[in-house]
Amino acid sequence: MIDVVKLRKYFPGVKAVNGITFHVNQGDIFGFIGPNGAGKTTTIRILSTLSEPTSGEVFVDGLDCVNEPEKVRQIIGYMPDYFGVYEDVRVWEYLDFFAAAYAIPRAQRKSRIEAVMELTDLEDLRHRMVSDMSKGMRQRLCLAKTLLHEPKVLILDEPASGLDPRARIEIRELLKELADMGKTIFLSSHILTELSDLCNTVGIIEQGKLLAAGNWKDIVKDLSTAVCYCLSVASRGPEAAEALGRMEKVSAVEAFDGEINFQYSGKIEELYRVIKELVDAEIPITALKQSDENLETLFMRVTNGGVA
Amino acid sequence: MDESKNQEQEKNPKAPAVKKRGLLSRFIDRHLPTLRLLGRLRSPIFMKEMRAAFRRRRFFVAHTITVSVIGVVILVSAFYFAEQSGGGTRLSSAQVGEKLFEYFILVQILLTCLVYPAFGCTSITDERANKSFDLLVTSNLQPWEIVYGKFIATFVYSSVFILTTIPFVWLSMLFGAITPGKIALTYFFLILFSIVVTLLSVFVSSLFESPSKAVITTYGAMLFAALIFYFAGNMPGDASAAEAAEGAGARTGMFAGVVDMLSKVTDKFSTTGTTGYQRTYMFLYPMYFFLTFCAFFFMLASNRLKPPSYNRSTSMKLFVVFSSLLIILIVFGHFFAAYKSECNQKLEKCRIETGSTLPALPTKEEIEDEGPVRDLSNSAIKRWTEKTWYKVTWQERRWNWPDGHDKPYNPKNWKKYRLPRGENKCPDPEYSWKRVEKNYTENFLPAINIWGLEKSRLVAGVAFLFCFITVLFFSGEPLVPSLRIRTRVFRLRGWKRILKPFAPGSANGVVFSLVFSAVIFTSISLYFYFAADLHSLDYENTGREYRGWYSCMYFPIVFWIFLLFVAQLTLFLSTTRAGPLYGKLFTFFLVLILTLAPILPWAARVKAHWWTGYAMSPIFMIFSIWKLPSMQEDIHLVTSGAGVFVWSMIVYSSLGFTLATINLYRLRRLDPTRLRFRAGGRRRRRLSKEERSRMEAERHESTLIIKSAKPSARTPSAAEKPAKTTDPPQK
Repeated sequence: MIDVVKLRKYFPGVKAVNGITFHVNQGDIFGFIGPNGAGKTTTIRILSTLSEPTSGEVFVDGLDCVNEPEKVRQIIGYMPDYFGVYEDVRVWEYLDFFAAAYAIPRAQRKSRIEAVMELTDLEDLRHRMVSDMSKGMRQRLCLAKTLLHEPKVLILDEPASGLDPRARIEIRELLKELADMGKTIFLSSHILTELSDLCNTVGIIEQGKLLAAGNWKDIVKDLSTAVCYCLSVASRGPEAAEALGRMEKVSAVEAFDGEINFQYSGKIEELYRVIKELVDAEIPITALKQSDENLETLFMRVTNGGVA
Repeated sequence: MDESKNQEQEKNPKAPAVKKRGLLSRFIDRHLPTLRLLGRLRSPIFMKEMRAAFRRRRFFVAHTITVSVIGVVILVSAFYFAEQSGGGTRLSSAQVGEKLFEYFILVQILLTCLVYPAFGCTSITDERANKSFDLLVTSNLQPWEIVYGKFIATFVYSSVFILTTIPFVWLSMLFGAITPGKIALTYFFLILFSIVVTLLSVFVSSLFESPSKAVITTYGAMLFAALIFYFAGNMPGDASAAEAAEGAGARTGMFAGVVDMLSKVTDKFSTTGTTGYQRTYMFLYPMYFFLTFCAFFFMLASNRLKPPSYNRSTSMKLFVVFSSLLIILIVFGHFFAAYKSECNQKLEKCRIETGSTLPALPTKEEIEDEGPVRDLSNSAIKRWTEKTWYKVTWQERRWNWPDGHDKPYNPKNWKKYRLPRGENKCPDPEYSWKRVEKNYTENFLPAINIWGLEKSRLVAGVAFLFCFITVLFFSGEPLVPSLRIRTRVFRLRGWKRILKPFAPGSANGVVFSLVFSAVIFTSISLYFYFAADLHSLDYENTGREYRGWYSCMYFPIVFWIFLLFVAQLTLFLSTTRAGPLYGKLFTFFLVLILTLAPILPWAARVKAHWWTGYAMSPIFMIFSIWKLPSMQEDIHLVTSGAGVFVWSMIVYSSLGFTLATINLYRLRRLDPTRLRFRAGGRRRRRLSKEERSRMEAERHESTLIIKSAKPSARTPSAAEKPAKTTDPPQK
């Protein structure tokens, strides 16, 4: 659905995006992750036809964002990271304005507005002035506006930024619902824990370069030749850690109260040797389990905190 | 959709009835895309803006205060004029009415200049400042629809302020002299003026991100326009300047030009003596300028809102070409209509006085008897020149014999007789008179002969100014157009290559503007040379005939060379780090300095030096053609002008061609994808075959680089495979 090929965007003295290539399938929820200044918003603005690349190609549903921006705009719904709303209008007037702006025929306009208000839980607020709405409500209103013309692709730049936990959860549920409706969602966010619940694919960008892209669990697998384990002991924790540190194919040993985390790069069939050595050393092992690696740890491993 | 609902209704009669849409709506929606486009004129932006604007309390407060202040000012003025005495006697009722009306126009213009820009200049900028602009742009609204919506909303909103003052202007009718027709006409022109002002402010608002910058620029532009109006009406050498300074009173001021225009136009329309064609052209000129300005600002604002990859230049270039063609047509039409009218009047007078259509040419005996200067029936030979050929002009009824007055009558000289259409065969004087009469009454070209000479100065002045703006505008375009445009321009092959100057890019802009200026200047020179009588008008006024060669030979060439210099300087500045905008600004101010420089000696009352500077200052050259200088200034120009022209030509041409060479060199080294110039001086080393293949491989390499904490742990497959998601979505 979205194809980005060797995309570059240079500003004077800055390579904001430096030759990134990735692909997003239809129905995917693609999380675009990166530190501040990594080039996320620049890429999103190019995808939304608001900016032109220095070189490279960007396609949305086969349409070239550079050559056919007007056609692309008809199939995307764009929600920027910071957006303003018109203060002196009511909620339905706001949506009616954008429905007219999207050239939705007058006959269908009302039903379409009702549908998106229902989807975004704005039905009770239809007559409320926009100026009286909270940030979470405005976020939902903007999302409702984005859905008015039934876009195939939603491009959301930090949709949950600045929201309280409840509003975040609401937005997350809403996005899941939209994904279930078959829409392709391209979103950027800093809140990685939520992205890991929501996204099935991710792209990690730093200093304008794409460091990784694809199914994030696959990326974890690709990156991890060593598996993390957590060993629980009844006592003699420091001695156990010392013993682990001496063993081959064991690294990154960290001991806490009764728990020792370590990485094992050997074959799983040979893990029993490690346990055997510990048992031989009379370490009272109570449990051994494989630790989960999440998106946050993946992000920290992949990036180094630089900006473009 | 409707049909399916109807079927459902038939199947289930209890289902709620589907509301049928109107016939017209269905007709528009289904069948006529053009009407659908017209339907988009019901701008959603207008509706939204109106809803928001009239909900604000500040609108009602501002409106009440404005109307109250105007009401008080007008009422106080009415009482003041009613009590005022003029020259020892009280003003008549009609005079009071006229004065009151004039002040009312001034107040209305001031209000227009203050209120409309106040709302217009923040219309689009506010969207940017509130971060709602991106949402608007990514909707299906076309750029022109956004500009149109903003314009119409601003116009309607601001017009409430203007229209509610109508009751006050009716006060002036109570005193007499002011008719409802005059008031209606004044409001008509006021509305045209306010439309232009609104569009100007909307255009400025499309330029800036911050509202404060937009406000400052809009009012700055208004002030600049007002100053131009002021100085245009008070140029040195202009006879009307003294009148304006002495007697115009309220009309002399910042808005004198507009006030004058409104008063004069409405006066002339009220005069019964104005003939049909005068009324037509009195409307045509303001309407042309109104439409041109409106289209200009509208197109500029729409272009600003276009997607970054879109072409913003070609439409403006076509606009320039068509608008210049249109004004040429209007002006020629005006001259022709005026000439025909004058010609008919003279023919009629001639018939009455002589009993025939035209007097006979002199015979050989008559010329030999009376010498070169003689009276022909009722019209004497008024002037004599040794430099021109033997020539007949019907209106002046004069004979000019350049080299033969001391020679005997020679029939060969008659062959040199130049008819207006280039006829050089005139063996029979009688026959030639008939031809002259025929040409004058039936053909177009002579129509712009002597009658049009004075007006042609105006045409030339405006055309040169137009060319200057064109050069500045198009040469200062962004250096490299977008990728999309570059691809499209690259596809222009064969004969289509001649369309390249219409494409965006400052280099194309330079070519377009210089070719355009050359065509305009050549047309004007030919027009001066063939159509206008170069030896008549100023010769009669000043006794010298500099105006002819000055206008048709030297001035267009010098000015074109000056434009070459301006274009190359702007292009050069575009290629530097300063960028196109600063390039344009720098060039503009440089030209402004060149323009204003002669004011200093003028202010010091050193008139000779003033004229020296005058000849070097291109903008003043425009006015020199536009305005008719007095006798004394003419002498200064003739005595010092020619040398300065030659000198200025050398200076401007050497600068222009040097910059052109530098620009060509730099543009050939431009890398359009990186907007960088390759280092000059050295040739790039030729790469070996291995190096080339390696670079090619690197270029095609996937950009996916998975960086690992443990480099050794990176799997080769991860580095090589493209970053594609292959898994089905997790739902």
